Amino acid sequence: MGGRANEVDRALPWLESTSANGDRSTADWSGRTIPRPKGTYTDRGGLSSGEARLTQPGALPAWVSRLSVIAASARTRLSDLGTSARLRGCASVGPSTKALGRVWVHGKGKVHIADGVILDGRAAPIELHAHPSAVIRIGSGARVEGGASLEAVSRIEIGRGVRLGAYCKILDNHFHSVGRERHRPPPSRPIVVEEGASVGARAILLPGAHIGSGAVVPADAVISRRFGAVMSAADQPVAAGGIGAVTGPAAVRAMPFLPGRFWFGKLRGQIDVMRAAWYLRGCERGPRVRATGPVRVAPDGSVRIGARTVFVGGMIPSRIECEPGASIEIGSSTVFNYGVTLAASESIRIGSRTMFGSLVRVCDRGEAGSQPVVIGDDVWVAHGATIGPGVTVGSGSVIAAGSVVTSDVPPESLAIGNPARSMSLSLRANDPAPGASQGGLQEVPG
Amino acid sequence: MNPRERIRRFIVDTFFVESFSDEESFLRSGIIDSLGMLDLVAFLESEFGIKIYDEELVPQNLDSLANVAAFAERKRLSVTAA
Repeated sequence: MGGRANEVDRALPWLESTSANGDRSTADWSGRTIPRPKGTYTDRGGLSSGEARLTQPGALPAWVSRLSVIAASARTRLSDLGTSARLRGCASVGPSTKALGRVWVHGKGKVHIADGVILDGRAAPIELHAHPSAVIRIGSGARVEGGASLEAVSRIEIGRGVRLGAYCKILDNHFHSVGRERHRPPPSRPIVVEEGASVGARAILLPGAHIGSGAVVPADAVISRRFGAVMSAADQPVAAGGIGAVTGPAAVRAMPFLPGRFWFGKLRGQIDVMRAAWYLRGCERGPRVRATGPVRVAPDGSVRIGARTVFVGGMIPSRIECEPGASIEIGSSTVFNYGVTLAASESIRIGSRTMFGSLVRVCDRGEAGSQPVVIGDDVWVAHGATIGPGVTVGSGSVIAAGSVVTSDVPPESLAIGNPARSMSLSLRANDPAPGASQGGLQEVPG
Repeated sequence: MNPRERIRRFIVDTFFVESFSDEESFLRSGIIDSLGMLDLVAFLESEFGIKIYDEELVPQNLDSLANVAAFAERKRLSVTAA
């Protein structure tokens, strides 16, 4: 009974009341009050008279309080049912874990969620994507905010009591190589967030990140190595003089050829073409432009989209905002992951075969007015990068995740940091364990 | 502490490597990735009071302790000469 009451307490914080002598208390199922020790509860401000009544059965007829309790019970059961439905794709879920709003569990890998975890996807969806043979583990008492996205190709471990902030991105594989073979996914490196750590909003944890116990990763930070005081010696991304062990299957696998899947894919492709035709109806489109999810378009200017360009659907739709008199030109075979924003007051020109990761923003208007943005061919703009007004990105360049680009990027360079600095594309760690990669492209990096 | 030792101490403390030789390639051995290179460059700029230009961010200048130390020394001399 006590456990049940605690559950209701968690689900219905408004049952909390303050008695006449100021002690914190909680309503039991029978209307009895359970005293709380002082100083153990965060004050949520004033209480309405209706809340106080629940703890004073004499104030209203008994059937009113009983009805409230029945309603609370029904609400808890509904919430439990919702959690079970949302987390049905998980390999295991702890008893008092709650999933609120939109929580997406994707992939054929295993997602284990321990006890007392709160996945709050009310503000924006939470995405847990475990590729085949990959494992995502979330420890007890962890809290995951809306917009958080975890994508594992080998392993992501989230410790007990960890907080993952809104729109943080955790991925153990880059999905593309920086070098010439852009579509060859590199091997994965597991990610570990130790217990009690906190990952700020919009932070990005890249392959090999290891966040120490109790460490606080600031908002917008990008981490690809050890951060904070790491407790366990295992899983260190960088060992002495070499790259840490890559465990598990570690690579995005190519799908085997199946005739049924082939024809299903063809049909889905046609639907994607029709979806693009609907959402991009105000734009000039080349043949075979596809959209696998909604795209928000405000084509008050001229928007031209080259052949075979793809808009990938996801937790947030991509947006194309083109003001009157402005122009947006997109080359052929360009790929946009979800949540990309292109905002043109004057001109944005994007080359062919360029790839945009999720939540990338390209805007040609700044404090000093509008200046055209030009992005060349074969550029890879990784997750969460921002490209500002007047910037020209040379062909073949890579914009690292979370970078803020405010000046020109020469061709074949790697732009990284905030503000971004351009370095030689050869100034990067070579991919470890050659041969570990085995697959074709599955998707654009997060 | 000479510049080379200062840079070595920074790399050991920041990238959690126990031992590496002066000639060992950071990139091939995976001691430092591209984000780490940015940290290393920021350290060199603040520690030695030099300004490193984007076009100087190439492996010839930054890919081993020996290269980094020599590059930092060159830059420092050019600053003092100017």
